[in-house]
Amino acid sequence: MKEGTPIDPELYEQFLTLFTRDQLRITAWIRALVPNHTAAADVFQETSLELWRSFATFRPDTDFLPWALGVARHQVLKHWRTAKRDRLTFSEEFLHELTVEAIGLADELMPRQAALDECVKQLSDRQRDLIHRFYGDNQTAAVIASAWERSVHAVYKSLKVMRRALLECVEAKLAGQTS
Amino acid sequence: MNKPTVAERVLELAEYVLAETASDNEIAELESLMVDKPELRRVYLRYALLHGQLALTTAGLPETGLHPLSTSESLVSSKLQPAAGHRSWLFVVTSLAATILLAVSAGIYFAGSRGNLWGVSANLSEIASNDLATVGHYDNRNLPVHVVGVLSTDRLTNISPTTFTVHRGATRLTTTDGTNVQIEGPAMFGASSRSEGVLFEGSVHASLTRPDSNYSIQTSSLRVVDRGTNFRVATMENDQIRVDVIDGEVEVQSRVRRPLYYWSFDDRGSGGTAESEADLRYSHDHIKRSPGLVGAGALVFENRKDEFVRIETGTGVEVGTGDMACSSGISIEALVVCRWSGRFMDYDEIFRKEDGNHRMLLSFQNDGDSNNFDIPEVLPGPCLSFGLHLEGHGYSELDMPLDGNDGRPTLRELTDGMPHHIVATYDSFTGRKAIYVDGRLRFSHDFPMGTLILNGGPTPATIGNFNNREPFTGTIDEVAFYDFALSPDEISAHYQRAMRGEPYFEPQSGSLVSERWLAITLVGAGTSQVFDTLTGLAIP
Repeated sequence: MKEGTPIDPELYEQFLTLFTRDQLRITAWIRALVPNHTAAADVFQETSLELWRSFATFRPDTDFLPWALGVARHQVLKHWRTAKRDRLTFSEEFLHELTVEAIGLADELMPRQAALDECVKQLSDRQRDLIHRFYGDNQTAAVIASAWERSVHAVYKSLKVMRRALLECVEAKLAGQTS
Repeated sequence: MNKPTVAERVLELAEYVLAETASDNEIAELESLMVDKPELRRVYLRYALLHGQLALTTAGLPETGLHPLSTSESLVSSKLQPAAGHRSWLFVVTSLAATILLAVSAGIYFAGSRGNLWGVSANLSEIASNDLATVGHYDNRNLPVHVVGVLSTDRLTNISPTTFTVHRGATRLTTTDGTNVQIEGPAMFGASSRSEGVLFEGSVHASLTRPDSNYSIQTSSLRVVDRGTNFRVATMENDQIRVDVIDGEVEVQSRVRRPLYYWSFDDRGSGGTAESEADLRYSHDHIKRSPGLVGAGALVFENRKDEFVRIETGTGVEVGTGDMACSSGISIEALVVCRWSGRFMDYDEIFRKEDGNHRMLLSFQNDGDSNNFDIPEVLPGPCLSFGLHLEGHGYSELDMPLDGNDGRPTLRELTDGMPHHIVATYDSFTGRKAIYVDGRLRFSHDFPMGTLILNGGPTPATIGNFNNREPFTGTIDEVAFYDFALSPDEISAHYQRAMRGEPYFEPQSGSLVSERWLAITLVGAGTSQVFDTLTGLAIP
C-alpha cells in the first residue's frame, strides 16, 4: 500500500485484534529459534514493527499467525546473520530450512501450549520455582545456583530433566487427544 | 550401555543449544543429524518450542494478572473501557501503548481517514511522513521511547512504567481509578505508576472521575498533586511549567533534595538519621569501625566473604514496588577508601540490591565482560560499575574503565589509600547515566530522554558485599540513596564538604526528613500559574 492511501479502519482493527491475540505465540515461536531471552525480545520488537510496516500485505481472508511467523522468520534469519557473539552457528542454508519447517508448527502452537500448561501443574514445587526463576524472572543459571546453594551444573541438569519430562508429558497428552 | 537413539542425541544436543553452551562441534553435529531428516528437525523444533512456551505458563508468568489472550478475547475492545476490572492499569496502558504505536506507525496510511480510533484521538491526517522516521530509527540498543515497555517479551515489563511520545494531536489513557489522562502532542509522558505520571515535555491534562482517586504529575523538580480536580500541566521554555486548573484545586510541590536513605555509620543504632541507621543489620558484631571519613564512624571491610551490612528497608512485594523503586531518577553516593585488588573475577560491592534482572549496583568489577552487560561497550578490565534496569533496554551496566583515559581515574588513583567520593546517577529527564568521582563527572552514557527505571522489589539491599561472594576491601562511609538524580553542582558541593570532613549537607539546610515533596502553594479553579522548576517559585 502506498503512503497516504486511505485504509478501511475496520480492517485495521481486525489486524490489531489478531496481533494482540497472537503476540505471545509469536514470542514463544521466536524464542524457540533464538534461545537467549534478551535476543529473542529484540527479534520480537523488530518483528512487531515489521508487522505494521507490512500491514499492506496482510490479507484478512488468510490465517494471521502463519503470515506473522513468516515475517518473524525473516527477522530471525536477520538476527543470526548479524549476531556477532552468539554461539549458535547453524549454517545459513540450514537455518532457512529449519525456519521454514518451524512455520509448519503454527497449528501446533495452541494445543502444545495448553498441554504444557497442564503438564506444568504436575511438576514439583521446586521445578515450578525453577520455571519461575529461569523463564519468568529471567534469572541466569548462576543466579539460581546461588539462591539454591547448588552448582550451576546442577541447575542446568535440573532444567534438562524438567524439560525432558515436560516434553514427554506434552507428547503423551497430544497423542491421547488424537488417538 | 545402550547407545542413544538419533532422536535422543538430537534432544541432548538441543539441550546444549537452549542452555547456550553448545560448542561449534556440537552445533555442527546437530545440523548434520537433522539436515536430511525432516522428522528430526521437528523433534528439535518441538523441544525448542517447549523452551519458548515455558515462559508463558502459569509458573513462568509473574503474578500480574496477565495471561495470554484466548481467541475469543479482543483487547482492542476491552482496552477502550474506562476501567479494566481485574486487569491492572498498567496492563491497560501497555495495551494502549501498543495501540498508540500502531496508530503512529500506521498513521501515514490513514491520511484522509477518520481519526479517534481506539482511544487514540490524534488527528492522523496531520501526521507527516517524516513522523515515521522515529520508528524508522529503530535500533535494538537505542529504542525509540514510544516503543518502550510495549512489546517486550520480558514478562515483568507488564508491570512496568511506560513512556509515550505523542507527535501531534491528543492521546488518552485511563487508569483503573477512573482518571482520564490526555497527552497533548507534541509531548513525552511517562506513566510511572497508577497514580502518578512524569511529564518530560509538552502538555498533559488529567481529569479525575472518582472522588476517592488521586493523581499527580511530576516534572523535573516539581509535582502537581490533585485535590479532586481537572487540571493541565505544560512544560515551557526556560525550565518553567504552567499549571491550569479547570475544576477543583491542585497543590504544587517542590522536591525535597535530600536522600531517601542516609547511612553515616557514626553510631550504630543512632546515626545521622536514626531511622535509616536502625534499619541496618550487620553480618557480625565484629565488623570493624574506624573513625569516620566524615563524622564519628565508618565501616571497615576486610575482604571477608561473611561480612556485609544488610538494609532491611525499602523493599517491596515485587519489582517496581517499595521505597527503593525509583522510576524517574536515582543517585547512589558513598565515601570510600578502596583497597580493591583489581584482579580478574574479583568484585567489590559498595551497594547492591539484587532483584533479578532489575538489580541495581555500584561496585568494582573485573569480569572480562562475561555477562555483556556493558552499555556503552568498553574493553574488559578493571572498572567501576553502575548497574540499573532501564525500561526498554533491560539491565545494563555503566562500566567506567579505570584506565586514566579521558578524565577517568586509574585503579592506582582510586586505591591510593585516600578517601574518594563516588556518585552514580541516572536522570530520566535527560536519559543520562553517569559516574562522578571526587566531585567531577568521569563517565556517562545517554539513553533516550524519558527512559524510565524499573527497579525495586523484595530483596534487601546490602552494603559491602553480595551473597557472601563479593566482599569489599576498604572503608565505606556516608552512603546515601536518592530517588532522583543529583545535579553536578550538588555533587561537587557534597565532595567539597566531605573533603573538609563535613556531612554532605549544611546543618541548617533542614533535617533528613522522610517527606519527598514539600507543598509550595495551592492553585484554584479557573486559574493558571507559572512556576520555575529550578527554584520552585511561582512566577507572576
